[in-house]
Amino acid sequence: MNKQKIGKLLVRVADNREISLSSFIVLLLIILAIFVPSFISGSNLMQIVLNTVTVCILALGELTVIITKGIDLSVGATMGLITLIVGQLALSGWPLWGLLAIALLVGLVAGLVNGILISLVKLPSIIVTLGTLSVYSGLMYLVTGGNWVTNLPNYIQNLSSWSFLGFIPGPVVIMLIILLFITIFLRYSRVGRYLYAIGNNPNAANLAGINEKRIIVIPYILTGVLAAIAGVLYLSYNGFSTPNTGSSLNLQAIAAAVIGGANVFGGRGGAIGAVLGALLLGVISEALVFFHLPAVWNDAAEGLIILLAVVMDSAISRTIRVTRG
Amino acid sequence: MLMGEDIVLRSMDVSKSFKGVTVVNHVSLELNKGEIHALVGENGAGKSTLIKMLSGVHQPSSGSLEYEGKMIEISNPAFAHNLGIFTVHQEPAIMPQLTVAENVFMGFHPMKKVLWKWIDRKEMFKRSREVFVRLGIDIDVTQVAGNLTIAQQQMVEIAKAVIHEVRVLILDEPTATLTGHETQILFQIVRNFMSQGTAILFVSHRLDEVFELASKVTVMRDGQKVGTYSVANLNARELVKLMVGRDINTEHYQGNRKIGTEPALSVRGMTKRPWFSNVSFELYPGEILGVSGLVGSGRTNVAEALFGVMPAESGEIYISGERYVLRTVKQAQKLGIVYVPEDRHKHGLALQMDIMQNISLPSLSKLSKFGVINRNGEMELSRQMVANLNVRSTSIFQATAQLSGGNQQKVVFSKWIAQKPKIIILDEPTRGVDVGAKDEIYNIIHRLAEDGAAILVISSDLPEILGIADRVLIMKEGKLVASIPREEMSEENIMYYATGVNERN
Repeated sequence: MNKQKIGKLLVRVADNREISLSSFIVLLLIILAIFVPSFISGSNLMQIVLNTVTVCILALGELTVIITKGIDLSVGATMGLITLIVGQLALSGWPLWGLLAIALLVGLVAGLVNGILISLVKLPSIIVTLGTLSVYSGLMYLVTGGNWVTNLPNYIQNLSSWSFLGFIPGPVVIMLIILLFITIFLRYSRVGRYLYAIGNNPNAANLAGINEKRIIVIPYILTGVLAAIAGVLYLSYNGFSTPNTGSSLNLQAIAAAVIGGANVFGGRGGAIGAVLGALLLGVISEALVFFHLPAVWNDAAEGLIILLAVVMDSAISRTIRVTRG
Repeated sequence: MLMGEDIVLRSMDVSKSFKGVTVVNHVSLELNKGEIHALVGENGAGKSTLIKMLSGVHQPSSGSLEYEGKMIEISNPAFAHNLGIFTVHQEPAIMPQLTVAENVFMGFHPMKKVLWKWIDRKEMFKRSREVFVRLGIDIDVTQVAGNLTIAQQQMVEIAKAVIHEVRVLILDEPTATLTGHETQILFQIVRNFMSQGTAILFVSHRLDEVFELASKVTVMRDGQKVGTYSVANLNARELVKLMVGRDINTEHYQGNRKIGTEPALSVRGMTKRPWFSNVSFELYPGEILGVSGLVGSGRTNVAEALFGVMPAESGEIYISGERYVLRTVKQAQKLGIVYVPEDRHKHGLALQMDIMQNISLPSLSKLSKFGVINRNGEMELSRQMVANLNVRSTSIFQATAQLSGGNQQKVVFSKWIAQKPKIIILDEPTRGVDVGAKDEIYNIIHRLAEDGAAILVISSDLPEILGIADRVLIMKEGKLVASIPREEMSEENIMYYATGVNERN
């Protein structure tokens, strides 16, 4: 009887991805600290968070898409394209407000193109975004002729060099605001609820009077806009961008959302989980640096964690089904 | 010749249960060489499951099968094919992107050896042409099977049987989707098989076909065999009686309601081909109107047209006397129509979401301001509905996947009743629900009718219709064939119209 209770509790904890994931991150940090105490210094931890900001923001967009049973493979390329456009225009002397407006516009249009092709032409999201991924990556070369953008004006860098209360860096503050917004959007807004319903059971959603065709465009637009914000922050923080920027971020964003509890079969996932997923990836890549392991291990470790998360997901849902009886 | 030597395939006391529910209960059946044997019974009588055991799709939970005098286990469909047992399913299992010839020879392609074994396409086309000539059908075997009509696709399935030595041919409601002419061609082919000594098992809902084609008929009811009869010794009335043969349970009926005089819903000549045509009826406030008919008779399609899921192509719909053209679900909802679908897992519930989220889903527009959901309003609505309909759960935050079938159905009801509808369409409202919950659902339906809602109940469960309906409409092949008032309702009467024997007698 008691054993059963403990088992049920364990399942509940494992099923709550926010709790299990943050415990896992803390555990990992403690283990790392045993080997390298300086790993868990305040400044290093903040550095990890800062390095993860772009992935966090992209993952939050990707999350809203995955909830509807879709996937957006073009999010990294959208972000990369925006860094180059903004960078190029900044070099030709555009004012800040113009740069921000053009960034948001490009993000919006990129997302809209994805969303409309998926909704109206009824193509699978994986095909559409694979296509736009190539198009957006191609455009990156066109924008700069294959060159980097560097030597950006100060007002670009200033966007991320401020901090809140003296110790929370500006990009982290912006990321937290987005996190709050997405959390509220998914939990308390009507459209957010519709996304879950569509991902869960599109037939039932349709019978409930939800216009799937219209609603389904929203997460792609949101993802595009978030890619714009991530792009501006990336450019501002790094001070340069290349035609390769963002190419590895597609998969990292998806991985973060999935590790954070989003179900690729739709209908499940939360904002805090997605950010925790991104942070876990950040901790791992930082740990590899600390242990002087070559960066190639990064991909392998990342892949392993994703597999672990997916296996855990299906194991948990099976256990829940069994214990329900 | 002794009778026993003619038996090709027989089942002896076979039973099949799924998750503890017995679907086929100790059925023995004998199929003889050169004989057409019909299998009839109401929806859910267990016919399909029995067939699936004979063709290797399912294995019996108990009992055994005997083939040509030897006990056998038919472990999979391929094994059945090797024995010469072929089944033509109601929906042909063809591969639409492959050519007709490739479909016919699927798994048994003629091979040619050039260094390695390759499919001999020339031989395959040649032989499949021969097969269709033998069947007397004109089909281009090089075209892709997806271009064929359903009738032609069935012929492809039959052609599969022809390339082997077919000993037993099982036809599962083959005529359900065929026109009269196509049916006659099929029958001719079946008779040819019969004269060549093939044993044929023919499942049909259309009793007139049974009388036309078969010499023996086995009747199933509630998973059990009622008996096997010689068709010559039966008439249609007697056969219907054997199929239904239950006592009528009317304890649910509560007829002392006030039924309005102005129709809440009036339908005139509503048509959506090929599903239904020229459907006209009236539904009054406070009335519980049953809709009976066989699966595939167009009942659900009519419901979907009235709910704007699949709008009708012509005809008129009046709601409280005013004419509307129903195009979308949202519009139907606004007019006070709700629809509780047939399959709650497929269409009714988002199973991973909790009770509250399911109940509030269609009402979210009303519950939100500036796109933000009023959490308290949402919880209040759900608590109210859960209490009203007595949904047994730990809390409104329990995932609906964890509820029993009956309680899940109550959640689906809650979701729609929360809209305070004027017209309620219920499609198989108690399917897969246990007896206790059934009673509760009937009480809910009565309460709604008492409060003045007009209720349309689509059901394959005849006792259910007899138990609650004030009047019943009967559909057959997309047409409304009868409207029977309470006083004249009986299972026999309903089945009589639904199976179409009335056209013969």
